[in-house]
Amino acid sequence: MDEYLVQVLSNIGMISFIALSAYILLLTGEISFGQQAFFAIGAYAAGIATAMWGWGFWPGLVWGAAAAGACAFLLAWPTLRMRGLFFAIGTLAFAEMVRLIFEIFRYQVEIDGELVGPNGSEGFRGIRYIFEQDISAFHYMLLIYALLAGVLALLFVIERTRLGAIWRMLGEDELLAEAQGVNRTYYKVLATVVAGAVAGIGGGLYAHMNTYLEPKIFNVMLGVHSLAYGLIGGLGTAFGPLIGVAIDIGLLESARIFSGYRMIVFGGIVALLLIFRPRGLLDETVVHAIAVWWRNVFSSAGKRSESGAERSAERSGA
Amino acid sequence: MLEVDRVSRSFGGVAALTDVDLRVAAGEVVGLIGPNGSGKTTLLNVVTGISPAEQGRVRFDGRDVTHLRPDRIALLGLARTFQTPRILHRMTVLQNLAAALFAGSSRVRRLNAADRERLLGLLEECGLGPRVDELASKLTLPEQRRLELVRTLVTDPKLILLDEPAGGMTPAETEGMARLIAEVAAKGRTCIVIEHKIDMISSLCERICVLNFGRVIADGTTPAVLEDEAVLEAYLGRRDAAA
Repeated sequence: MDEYLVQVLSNIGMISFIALSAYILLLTGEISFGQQAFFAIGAYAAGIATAMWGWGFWPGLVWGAAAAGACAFLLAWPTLRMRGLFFAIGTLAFAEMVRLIFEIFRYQVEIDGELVGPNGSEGFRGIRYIFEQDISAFHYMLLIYALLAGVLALLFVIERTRLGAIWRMLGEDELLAEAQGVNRTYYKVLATVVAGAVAGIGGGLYAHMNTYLEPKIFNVMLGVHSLAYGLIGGLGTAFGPLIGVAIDIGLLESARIFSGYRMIVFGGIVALLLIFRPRGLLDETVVHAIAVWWRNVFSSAGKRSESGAERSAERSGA
Repeated sequence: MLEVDRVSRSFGGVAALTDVDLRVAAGEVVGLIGPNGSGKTTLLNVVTGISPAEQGRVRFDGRDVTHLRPDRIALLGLARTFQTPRILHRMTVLQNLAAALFAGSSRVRRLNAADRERLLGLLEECGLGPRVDELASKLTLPEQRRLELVRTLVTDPKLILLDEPAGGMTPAETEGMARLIAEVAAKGRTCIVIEHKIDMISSLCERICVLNFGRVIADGTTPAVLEDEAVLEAYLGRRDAAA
């Protein structure tokens, strides 16, 4: 497979995690401008674990997700007691705070005569686990997509059970949800923690693919993009944000014809969609129409095979 | 079942409720009437915990719920509808009921076949059968109100509060709604019904409580209340003023 294509697909896969992270919160009706902070925390925590503490890749990744989830809990508890805009502002402030902390965060150890670890704004070099283990870029891409499939499967299960229904209920009408027995704070904190952990997985994958982290890449634009992915692709299904990522990274960032114009085209798409399809391409109406169509296909196929069975029964009777 | 004891509530210095008392026994269907702005919906919001009482106490099913959160009160067995229907437009009709079931019971993790049958049965009874798989945003106002009514039944509540269940309906639609509520009441459910349509109230309720300017001005059997001087005055104005 072409090296460039592998890189683009890997990027799409990794960024999908932060897009899904923002999507989870959008489901519950909260807008976060700070999911990049959890991506960053996941990246640093996983990187520190494998490069400095000698952990394996999987424990490192789990630790990164757990650290991001725990930080999300610490953020959610105070901010979700406030409503609406305050959460958006709170997440933005938190994310900038996290970025600035990484700008001054120094924690280095000497490994084989070389200093390894986060060195403030100089960044964090030498997260070489997958190179030391001789994992090819192609295999790493497969690993990213396997994990992404796992997270998607989890989200699909959630959406078809109690938790998903309650998240969507809160997203549409908080007062109604509370009047029917939903503990708003509990379910929103839970959503924030899950969203933080999902972003943290993406961060851990990013750290190991790039081998090098710089605080400035976790700036607010990453958070704004992750929000926009769901709003472009649609909030009716977890596939929506992935479409948003594919359009942005796959088309605008990677295709050379858009070079330099990426942000202009991207901003234009977002503006048009907000006017014409405020909940994205795959919004609830489209997803519902697809579900109805699918059921019709399914049930008419069922009927055909039934009548076919009847006919063959008649024939064998005759 | 419900004891509202000398409850007061104000909004920015304006007294919405003053020393309101209301007692509802199990199995009763009580009408709550009064001119616009008399505090009927505020009283519902006090009982459901949406805007808690500043003074006085609310007891529900033997428990003091005055300062409980709305979700805690709901889980004790209280369900309501809203003056402006609140339904989940982005979900199907059936999903609206499923959401109410999930919200009201942490035991139900996913909709199994039996739950589904029961919800479909409820929708069938209230005439929404053909629309179960449509997005709720497609429903007409009377259908939205019926969905709200049937949604209160999903969690099998002890007390149902109906806030203008026939608001904005034609006489024929109002009659249909009155029939539905009568069916609910006939199963022994305790209800408080807010409504301006006196015909509907008097056919459904044996007892009526009347609010005016945030105070209870009458509370008694339906025929007595409807002939009460103070009630007629509140609705129609003073006789001597008109003369």
